[in-house]
Amino acid sequence: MNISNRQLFWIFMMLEIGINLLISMTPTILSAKQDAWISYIIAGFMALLITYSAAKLSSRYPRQTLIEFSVSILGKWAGKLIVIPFLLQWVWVMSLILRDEYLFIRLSVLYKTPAWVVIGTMLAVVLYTVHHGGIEAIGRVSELWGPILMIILALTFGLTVNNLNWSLLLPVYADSGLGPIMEGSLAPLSLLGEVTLLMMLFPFVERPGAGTRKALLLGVALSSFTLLLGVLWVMMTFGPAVGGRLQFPFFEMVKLVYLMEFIQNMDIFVMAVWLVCIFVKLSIYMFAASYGVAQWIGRAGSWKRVLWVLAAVSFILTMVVITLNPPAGLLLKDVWIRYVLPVNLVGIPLLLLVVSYVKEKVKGQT
Amino acid sequence: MFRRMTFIFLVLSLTLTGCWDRQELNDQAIVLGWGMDLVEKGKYLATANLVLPLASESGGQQGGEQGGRSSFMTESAYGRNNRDAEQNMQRKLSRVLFPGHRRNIFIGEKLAEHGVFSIMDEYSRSPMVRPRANMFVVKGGTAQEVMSLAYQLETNPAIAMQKIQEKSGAPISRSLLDFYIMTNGTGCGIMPAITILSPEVKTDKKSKNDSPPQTTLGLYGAAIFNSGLRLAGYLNYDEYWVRLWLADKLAFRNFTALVNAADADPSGGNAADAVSGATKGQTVSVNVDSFHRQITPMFQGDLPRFRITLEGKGYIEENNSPLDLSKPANVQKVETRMNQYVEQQVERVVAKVQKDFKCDILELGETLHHRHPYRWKKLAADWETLFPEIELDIAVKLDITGTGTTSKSLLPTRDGGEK
Repeated sequence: MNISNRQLFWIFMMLEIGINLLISMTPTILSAKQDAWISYIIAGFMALLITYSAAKLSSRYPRQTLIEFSVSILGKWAGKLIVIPFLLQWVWVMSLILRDEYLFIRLSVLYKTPAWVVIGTMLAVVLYTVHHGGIEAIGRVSELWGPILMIILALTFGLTVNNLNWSLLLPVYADSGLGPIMEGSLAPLSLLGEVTLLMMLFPFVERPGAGTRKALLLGVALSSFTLLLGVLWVMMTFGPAVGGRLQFPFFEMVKLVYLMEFIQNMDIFVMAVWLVCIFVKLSIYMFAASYGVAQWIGRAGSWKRVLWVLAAVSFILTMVVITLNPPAGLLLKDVWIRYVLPVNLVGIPLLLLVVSYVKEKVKGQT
Repeated sequence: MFRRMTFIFLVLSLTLTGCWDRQELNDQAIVLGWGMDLVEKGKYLATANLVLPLASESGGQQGGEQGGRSSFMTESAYGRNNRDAEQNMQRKLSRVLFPGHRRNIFIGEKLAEHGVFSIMDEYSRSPMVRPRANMFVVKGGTAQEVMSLAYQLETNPAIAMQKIQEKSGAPISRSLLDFYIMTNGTGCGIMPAITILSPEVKTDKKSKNDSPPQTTLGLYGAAIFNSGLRLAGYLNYDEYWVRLWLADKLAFRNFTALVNAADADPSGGNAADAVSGATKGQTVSVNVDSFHRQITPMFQGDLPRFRITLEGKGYIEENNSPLDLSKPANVQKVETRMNQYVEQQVERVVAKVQKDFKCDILELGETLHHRHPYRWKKLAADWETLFPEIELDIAVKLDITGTGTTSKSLLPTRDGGEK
């Protein structure tokens, strides 16, 4: 199972854009108002830092996944304990993504289709891909669909230019201030920070090294840029008051495409590629989670069996989340931003990196 | 084993997908227009304009009729709000109401006067509808009156109204969205207003094939809503463009001013003659199709003033004055007169907005907010009371770039001689 650097680039491109486009804009606009775009720039740079440190950490152990090198760094017990938050995050996030996907699909196309069908079909495709193709298949899908996603998004941006009113971005800074802008950047950052998944994918790259780091940084930079354009477009179309209250402002903006009578209703294309994004994201999470759990219990070879269990677990979890129906904003703000962002996306990778450096120094001295 | 299982699963899923949301086209009643009228407090009359499936196929051309059959259908129902009325309407319909193409929403005048707060939420909340829609206030009538009127050029009055609006020089299909954005800014809102227009002169139909002008739908101008989202008044067809120009949204407009004989004489002439509607002058029309505006807030003490510069480019399309347009100096004269005329029009409309409506639909407050955000924070709360007294310096600068196909008129010399 090998993927190339280019495939890795497209994987992260799709993984970062997918859900971010859907759910991060509303909280950011609510907090930073018309300066949401500044928040996205900040989030982009912070995400690059996270990517760099995680990639740096992985390149020190190019043939090991996170589950393995945490043991190499911290020893058997501590190493196994410290990755538990990651394993939980991966299993749990799948159900959240599926739930968001279901809510969005129900709101925009399938009004009456029961939840288990929407989720079940998506999970079945993910399961099939990961089971049969593993990481290789996901890499190829991303390489094929990534460019299509970019073309469709470029078309969307191009065709909505006539709706833009740049004065909706004014006044800059005066209405929000530093605090709200920083707070606004947390939502996109917490989703861009999912790039730490690279620590699971790194050893599967053909020639892990500087080229891999470059591909990752480029992927994160480009997807941040795309999101920045997205939020600028949303702001200039709806303004802060309306944009902050729409549930899925980006897709509402796509619905406004209206050119020469016959170019309209672009939303169906955007939704299609967006679904592919979600598919890639879920597949990567599914792969990382099942491979990670298998390695964690010490049986990397039987990860496909773990996969079946995890698929069932995430199906049940998703149904539970849908039944309980916790507000999406709460999950993003009170769980994801408060715990996952500082612990999983920043804290643990940094800790591992520092310990690994210190260990090397100590070893060098003795 | 795995392959067999996937196969079975795939076959099973084929039998399942799409069942729940299947909605055949011939089970849908496609809504093109939606009207709301106030009956009494808390009770509304909804009118839906539906596509008639058979009629739209052959595309009827004759006065919205095909073999004596109307090519559109309206249905109505009482209700306590949009959705309630829709449900009540459904009991008369053999097909499910499908609002996905509901691009035109009509509001009766009575409802507009009582305020649109109570009904406008659905137009942005319902996931079936699109944010790209037109919203019209029916001046001096009900939504149902307008929606029932057959329109000759189009098969459907809702589509006709949408197309008329598109030809008015205003932004296309954005009035609903712009209303939401604007009312969240300075609190006031604006919507296109339509009305039923009787023919200017009544001409009888002498034979069956005659087609004299009929009573029809038309654009009235713009309806102004105050911060309570209640109708504050209208800007008519000769006034609404001022607001569009000030908001940088005007696409084209024709201006006709009187240029009197005295104008041809460099020393004489009085501007008032040109703008007061003096009968001795002759008309010149300028077609302006490129607009620009600059609004500069200035502070004298605590209160802001605004310098408004309106610029436009156009060419002369009609010249009934004795001026010889082959001379650049004469074109200059037309330009000067035109500027004076347009400036007076703008000042009149702006004064009307400030004194009569007392509502900042010119978005001067927003301009102040954008340019002087910190000063705006102090003024924002009182803006509604400050706005009517704000001083404005308005200057119009039209640039005449051409004189059409001829320079000198093809007509022979007229009274007063070619100047």
